[in-house]
Amino acid sequence: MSMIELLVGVTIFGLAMLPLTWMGTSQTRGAYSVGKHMMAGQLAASFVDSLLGLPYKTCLEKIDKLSDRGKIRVLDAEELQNTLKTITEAGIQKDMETSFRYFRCQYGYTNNDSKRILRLDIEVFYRVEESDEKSEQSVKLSVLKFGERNG
Amino acid sequence: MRFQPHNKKGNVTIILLGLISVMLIMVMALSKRMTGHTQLLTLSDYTQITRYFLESYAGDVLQQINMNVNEPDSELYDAFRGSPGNKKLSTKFYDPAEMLKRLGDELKIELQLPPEIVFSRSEELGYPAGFDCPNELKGQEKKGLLEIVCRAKFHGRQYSLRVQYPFTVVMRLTPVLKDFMLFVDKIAAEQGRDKIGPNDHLNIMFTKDGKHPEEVDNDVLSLAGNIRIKSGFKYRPFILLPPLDEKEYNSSELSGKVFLGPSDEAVYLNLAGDTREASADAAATTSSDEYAASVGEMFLVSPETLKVADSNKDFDFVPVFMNKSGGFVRMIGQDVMLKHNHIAKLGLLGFSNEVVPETGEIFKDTAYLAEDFFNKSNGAGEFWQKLEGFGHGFMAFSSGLKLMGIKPEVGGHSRRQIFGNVLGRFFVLTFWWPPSGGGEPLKYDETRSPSDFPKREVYGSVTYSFQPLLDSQKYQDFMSRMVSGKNWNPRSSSADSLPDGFMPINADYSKASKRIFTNIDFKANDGFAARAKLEELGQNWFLVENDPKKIGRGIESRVGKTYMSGEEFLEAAGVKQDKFKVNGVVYVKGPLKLPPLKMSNDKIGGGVVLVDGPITIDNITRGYDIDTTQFKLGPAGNMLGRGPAYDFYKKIKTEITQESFLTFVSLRGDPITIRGEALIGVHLVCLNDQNGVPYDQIMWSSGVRKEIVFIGGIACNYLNLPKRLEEFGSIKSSCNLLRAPFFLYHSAMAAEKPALAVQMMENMRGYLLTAGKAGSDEDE
Repeated sequence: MSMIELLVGVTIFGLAMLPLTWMGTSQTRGAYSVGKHMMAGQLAASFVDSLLGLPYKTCLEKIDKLSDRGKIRVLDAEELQNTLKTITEAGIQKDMETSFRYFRCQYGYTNNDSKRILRLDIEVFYRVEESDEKSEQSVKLSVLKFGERNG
Repeated sequence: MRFQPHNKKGNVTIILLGLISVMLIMVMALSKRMTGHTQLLTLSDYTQITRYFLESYAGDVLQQINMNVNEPDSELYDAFRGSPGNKKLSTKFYDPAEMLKRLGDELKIELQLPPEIVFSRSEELGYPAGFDCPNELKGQEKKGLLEIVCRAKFHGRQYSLRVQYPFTVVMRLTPVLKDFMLFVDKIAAEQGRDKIGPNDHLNIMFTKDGKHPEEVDNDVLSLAGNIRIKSGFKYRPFILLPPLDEKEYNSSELSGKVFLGPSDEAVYLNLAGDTREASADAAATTSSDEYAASVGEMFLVSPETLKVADSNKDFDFVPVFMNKSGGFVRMIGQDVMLKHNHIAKLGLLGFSNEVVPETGEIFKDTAYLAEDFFNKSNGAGEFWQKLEGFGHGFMAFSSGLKLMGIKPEVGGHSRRQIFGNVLGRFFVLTFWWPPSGGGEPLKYDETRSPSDFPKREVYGSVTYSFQPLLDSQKYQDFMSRMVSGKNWNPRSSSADSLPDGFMPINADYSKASKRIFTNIDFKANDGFAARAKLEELGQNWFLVENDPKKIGRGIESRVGKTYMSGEEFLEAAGVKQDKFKVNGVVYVKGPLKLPPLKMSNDKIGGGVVLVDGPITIDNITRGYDIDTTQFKLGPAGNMLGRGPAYDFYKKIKTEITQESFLTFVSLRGDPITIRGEALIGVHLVCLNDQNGVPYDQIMWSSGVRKEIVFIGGIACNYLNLPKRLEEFGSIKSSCNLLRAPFFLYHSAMAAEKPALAVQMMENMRGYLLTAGKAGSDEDE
């Protein structure tokens, strides 16, 4: 085997490896992104569920306040803060804080007062590339909450 | 060194290609795996989005069921009230909310209509001890599960959500208790041990000239030491008016029963009455509004009360004895025929200023003293002895509570049933008139020989003797006395064996006699019977078990909704939308402050509001334009079947039904304060004694300035009557006859068929979300 042959081989191998490496990186990033997406979905669902659990009026007051705040860090959300407070192990708490560092959420609502129907919209944003603000993606959940009507 | 040609030339290339191929395969496998992940993630997203959409859909169906199920015209109304079974419900009522449709459009979810609604389980609700539910009503109160199936299509997949919601069907009013216009199960405690005198807080209504003057004469007050009422304060009686409708007047089921308890204590009510003639009670001719009628309650006494009176003829206005100027002292009573055409005059007197020896006219200018009739010291009757000790002034005070209303113009009183050991107290003055030589009182003497009747020698030659018509008649049957004049202990003998000399206020029409009614005699118009003491029924029904694992069989098992504040409840009831929908039994963590409820009956959904805390109630006028000053207490003849009050009642009699009747319960005995003058179609309940002694449970605020009109029922442990009469006294009244609040029972409370309310609970059960390919029933 000549040196040229070896060089050609290595070059071909290198060239062949480039897309493969890119693909690998892309897949890893994808897997990471899937994780984030799932976390965002879980967060959105838990925010929705916690609002659904409130009495109608309290829910309306709460989402009204939250929607005024625009896009907020999920770590500032009351529910997540409460969860973090319950975690005593510093490592896990730090991990969670790191994981949700770039997660944001935004609340919106529409209220039909006469029919006592409240539409809740919760969107949780995450970054595919943590350093790149433009890589932000989101998961949005919408649900209707019905105020009690005894007739 | 030189490279040698090798027979394995090109192997490296092959190896490299192989390596690349392996890596490609690995990358492809990884890529496929990641694609799988992404697909799973997409599916998970879709499922989550659809789940919330389907939950919204089910919520919408539930809300619309709630809206329709208690509307008498709706299909659902009958479906829930019918016999239980796993039947499918019509979904014609359902029209998806605009917001739901819009959400579906935005999410590109295809809403599949109609939903499927099926009763999946149903069982009868039980009753606590003592409540005997008639067979025809058994099973009408029930609990069960309603299954709702909602479907939607999203991205080619069909999603289906199956949820079950619990429901109950309950009576809108409290069984048994609703048949009582007034239910006070511990009122005996308001009379003290003596049952007369300063600790008697029931007989405190000053009576004079056939009226209840708002303020008490000072000379009488000085003769009634330590009486509970205060000088300078105004008082007005608590009068339970008889029904204004003739049919209800003559019905023991519809006239609103009364219970004064407890069942093992006696309650004595002083009947008001003086020597006024019946003609004094007639309406004045000058103005239709002016009356000088008596508030006398002697109409409650019928001849069969007195053993020797002739029960075939009514009492009349008779001369009983003479004064010094030769005139007769007349009063209601009867001439009792004796042998040889002799006559014994039985005169009846109630409690009034005129009867007080020191201030009244009865014994003035006569040769007799009260002790000539009632004896004195140890020879006198028990309560008379006490009266002598406490002061004769107490004779001017009659009961502040008038259970049968005021004297009817014609005929007897209404057929209202009085439960409990409620005894009417009044005086009998017996005077014997021999043919000549004047007469003599038959003095109270329990120790006298029963056959020792008086004799009188006239002109030294003729001796007349008092000889009753029947040999079985005793001296004690004739003698003067205070009827219900002893402190009878119901614990020592049963109500059926009430000793002679007592008059139960209750009248047993079927037997034409007066006797004590106990729970055994209770029969509601809807068929409910009472198999326990009435006070126990109240406690059993409102019992809240302390053990969270147990649920009381009364109200606790019927609670449909729980509100954590009064405001939350008012919002759900729709007060902002000018509605007040209770529609069932709801628990409210108090306090509850009700605004005026001016909405019409169709906007009110009847039910029971259990409040854990104090309650404040404003006017409940139900859309009626009520001028309470029109509700004047005229003689019953002017109210029964005619007059403005009757006209109003006639209107509300049919318009207010159990469907819109409201019950407010202070669950832990906190006070219910009434801030409005008009409460129409309301049942107030406060039966959880917090103190063990009388205290304010249901009271009228000092802010009430107009005349009170209350149409409904009251159930409590205590009235704390002096305070109530004082509250009533502080209200101005334009009524000439009797300035008192207007309390009426509403016969809808005693309807033959109890109204039912359906309550849907929001806590889902049996949650099942499934997904399958569109057009396929196969679940995945």
